[in-house]
Amino acid sequence: MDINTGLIALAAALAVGLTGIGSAIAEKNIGSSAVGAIAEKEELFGKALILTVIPETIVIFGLAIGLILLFVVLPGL
Amino acid sequence: MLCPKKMSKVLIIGDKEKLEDTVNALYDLKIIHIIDYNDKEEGFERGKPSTMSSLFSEYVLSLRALKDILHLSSAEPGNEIKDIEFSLEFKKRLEVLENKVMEKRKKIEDIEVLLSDIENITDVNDLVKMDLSSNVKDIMMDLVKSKERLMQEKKELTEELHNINKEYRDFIVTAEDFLSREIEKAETPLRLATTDHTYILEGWIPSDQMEKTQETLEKMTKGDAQIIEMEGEGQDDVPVYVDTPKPIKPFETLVDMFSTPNYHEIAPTVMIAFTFPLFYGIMLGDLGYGISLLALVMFLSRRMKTSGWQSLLNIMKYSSIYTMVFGIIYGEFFGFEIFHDFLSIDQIGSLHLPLVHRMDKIVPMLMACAGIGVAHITLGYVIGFVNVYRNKGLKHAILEKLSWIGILYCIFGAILMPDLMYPLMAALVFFMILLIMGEGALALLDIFTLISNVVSYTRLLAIGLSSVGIALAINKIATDVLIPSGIFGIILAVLLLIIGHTGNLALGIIASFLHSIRLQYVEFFTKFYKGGGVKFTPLGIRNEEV
Repeated sequence: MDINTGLIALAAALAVGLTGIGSAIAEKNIGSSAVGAIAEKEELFGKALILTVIPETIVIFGLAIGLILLFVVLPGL
Repeated sequence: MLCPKKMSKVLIIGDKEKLEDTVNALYDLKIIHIIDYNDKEEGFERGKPSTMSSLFSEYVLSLRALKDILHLSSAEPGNEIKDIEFSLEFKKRLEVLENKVMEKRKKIEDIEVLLSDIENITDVNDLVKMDLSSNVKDIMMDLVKSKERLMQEKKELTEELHNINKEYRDFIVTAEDFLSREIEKAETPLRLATTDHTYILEGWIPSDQMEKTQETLEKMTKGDAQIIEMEGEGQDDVPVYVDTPKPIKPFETLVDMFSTPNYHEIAPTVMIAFTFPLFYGIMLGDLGYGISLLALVMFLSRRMKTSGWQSLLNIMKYSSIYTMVFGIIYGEFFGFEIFHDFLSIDQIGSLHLPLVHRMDKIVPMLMACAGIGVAHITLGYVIGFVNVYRNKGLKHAILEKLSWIGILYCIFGAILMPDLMYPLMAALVFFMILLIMGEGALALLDIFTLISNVVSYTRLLAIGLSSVGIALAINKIATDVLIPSGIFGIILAVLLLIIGHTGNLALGIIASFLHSIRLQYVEFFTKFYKGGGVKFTPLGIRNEEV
């Protein structure tokens, strides 16, 4: 165990964690507006749900980076 | 099963005097979806409700109040009455019943007021205010006696109310149901266009029921009402009725929660019926949790009777069976490994048990989840292809949907087989050109959404792993730390196991449901589903619960 392993682990954690925070900040207002819209008009549920989860791609990219770091870069050290 | 039923638009015209017969006939058939008249044509006006409807409404109000007081709201009507003699006798019976119930209820309320006054006495001054003498001991005896007497009276009255319940129960429930239906029939003229002597009823009937409707109308109105079929397909707002087989019917709730299907597209109910419980099982995948879930569902389906709950519980029944199957495949029972710990067999012949050990085989499982994602999304695009082909023709279908399938397989082929990089890149450019021709240049940005959608299926593994991890931690603490340390440790261990696994079960049930449904809605439906249809609500079927 040397410092490189620790740094890579830290990098993967930052990748997933920070993108999670970013995605949460993005989705929080969309989510509350979506619930308000659905309370008034039930048919909007589908569109509102899709719009709410659009920022999810940010966290997926973070997860992909984390996985590449842990499973491709780390064994290759 | 896959497509909405074919509907024909009809116009029923007849003499205003005979409107009642027509409405009765149509109500019993439960077949026509009425298009409400929107009061915009010259020379026509809305019909008037029949005269009995206000009388019926009064009766229904008193009946519903009685139903509420006697706690009959969830009772089912016994036999359907077709006709009640609306003589004075019915009215008198109803009034007598009402008076009895109201009387008793008022008495109970008065007694409760008195009782609460007695409870609130805290001071001799209050007693003086209540006009009693200030000899405290006498007063106390009086008060205690009257309190006992009042409580006894209250008990007797409540029992009497309960007995009224049994005697008149059937009457109240059946009468309320019958009268509600009569009121619906009586208010139907409000939805039609009428002139001085005629009425016009516009509606939709399933095409295969046309003859039956014609015959019944002829018979019931003695040839007065005329039914005319209007030509013209491709209209919007055709009501949608999908004829799903009975085992798949609960999944219609899931589709309707998103949006009722369009008349022109395939209903995805059958696809969801197979993939939703599958994803649920992959995520929750534990034999013990599956059995607990099934027990919970069985218990709840006896208590909750509304149709919304019932369809949800049916869906969960299927999901729990898949959970048990995957529990055996993963070899997990409340977090313990069945094959290694309980049965001590690690392989049968050359087959390693369990088939898939989630914590060990992470990377192959990730590949498998991505593979499931690609398959599911391909299915979505294929359905979209069929939809566009039926509505707009082969060229549009190829340009809009086949191009996406091509792009999907080119990208993932390039990742899996890097040797074929150059031919695959060429094919990718070709499909991208097709896509630009079909949907415009901005659609290229959606390629990133596509990649994100496929990777999103790795949540099947991720949610499962988190559930396994928590169960593993609970089990390790219980077995390695607590049980060896004496009797006190064993009690703590059992407590920890029960509370921990209940919490993990609750988390697993809710999270798996949410993520499974989100995979259907966001990744699957967006590839082909438009929705926005109008549900087929024929005259005669009441939507009591939403």
